[in-house]
Amino acid sequence: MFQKSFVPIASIGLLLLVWLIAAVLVADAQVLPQPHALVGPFWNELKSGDLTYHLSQTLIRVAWAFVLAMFVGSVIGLSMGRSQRLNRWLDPWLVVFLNLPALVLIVLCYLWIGLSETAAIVAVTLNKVPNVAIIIREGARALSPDTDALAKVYRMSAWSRLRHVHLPQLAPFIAAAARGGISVIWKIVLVVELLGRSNGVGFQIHLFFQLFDVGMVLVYAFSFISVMLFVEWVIVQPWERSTRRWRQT
Amino acid sequence: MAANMIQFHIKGKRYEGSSDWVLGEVSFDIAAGRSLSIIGPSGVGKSTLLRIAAGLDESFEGTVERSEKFSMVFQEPTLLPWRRVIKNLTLLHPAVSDKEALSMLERVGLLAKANDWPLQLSVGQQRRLSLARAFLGNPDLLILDEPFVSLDEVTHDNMVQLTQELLADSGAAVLLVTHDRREALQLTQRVCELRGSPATLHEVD
Repeated sequence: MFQKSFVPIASIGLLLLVWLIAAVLVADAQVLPQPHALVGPFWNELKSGDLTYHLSQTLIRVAWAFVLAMFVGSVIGLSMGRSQRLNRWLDPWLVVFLNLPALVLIVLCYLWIGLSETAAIVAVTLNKVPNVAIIIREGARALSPDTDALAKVYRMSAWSRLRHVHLPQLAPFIAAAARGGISVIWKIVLVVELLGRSNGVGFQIHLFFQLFDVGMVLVYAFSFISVMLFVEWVIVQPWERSTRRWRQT
Repeated sequence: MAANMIQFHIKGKRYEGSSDWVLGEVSFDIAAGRSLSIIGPSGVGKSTLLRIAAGLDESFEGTVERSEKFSMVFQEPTLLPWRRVIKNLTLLHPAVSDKEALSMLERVGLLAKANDWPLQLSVGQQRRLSLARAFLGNPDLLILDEPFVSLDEVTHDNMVQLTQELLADSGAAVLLVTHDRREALQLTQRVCELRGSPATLHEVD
């Protein structure tokens, strides 16, 4: 238990040490400030309310895009995994969208929909849907035909079948898609904000880039990474553990 | 004359893309409270016949009518391992109360395991849970697909005895498929053999 919690902390400590050594070697706070030099700017940004405002704006976009991408991607993936005919039709679409650069989709959404919140969220969602669909499709293909037969013989309703037969089998795939989704979506959201929004972490990073303020860029980046780690440790990992507890017998 | 719980009349069955018939003309009826075993060697088409009887395979020539209130015991226990033992009964029988489900678990000797996960059960216990699930809710028709295959002798005999006890109280029509003639004679009133190519049904004396 001690080792389980000690290793991640020690690992982060090691990363800080590498940063510290690099900062000493660079010896230019404008290029790479020391870790402790960020505490002051971080505190000022927090006190002014700017950090929480921009963080919350980005989080709202991440949450919307995540929920939409997971829902749409899961529906498409499940349908493709269950129907060979649909899979034959939609598979080329998936390949096209998977290979479409995120930047192209973002620019096209802004051009077609306008520089709006809707365009930003649609752009991020469209970037993530194909990945979710592919992971869930693999899960749907691996669904047990025996439990399908069981559900049919015992005349389970469609909802009951989904909830008690299919979703528990898909849980590891949903967890993998969710974990990948969160890490990719927030990175794309920053690009979307950089290109066409007037708030959010991406917008602030763009602003401080123009001012060549590396310290503030790092303050915003690490603040958001911290929030996403919190989401991973407090929401994603406990949920994943709860879906696996029947195996740990 | 009691009503038939299943009327099975097929002219033949072949798999998609194949010109060979697996099953030829096969007909039988089972009335309420009556039972029929179908025996035969591996690969003759017993499980195919049973899948048709249970409505799991609908690509055949002929008609199969069965009671809406039927249940099935599969070759493997086919449980929902991510749901607790009691939920494996109540989820599949929403009309049945928890009390009835617990009473059935008591009959099959699994009351103490009601809140366990299925993977915590032994193979024999998983089979008993599968039987409990099939007998719960008083079905009109029970379809059993080699339910005791690959069990050790002691567990096998215990399972046959438990099934006999449950059947005695049930009054359901029974269709059993097995390769074990002794098991067929122990559990059902009538035994037929599936043989030939395409396979057809023959009465066993």
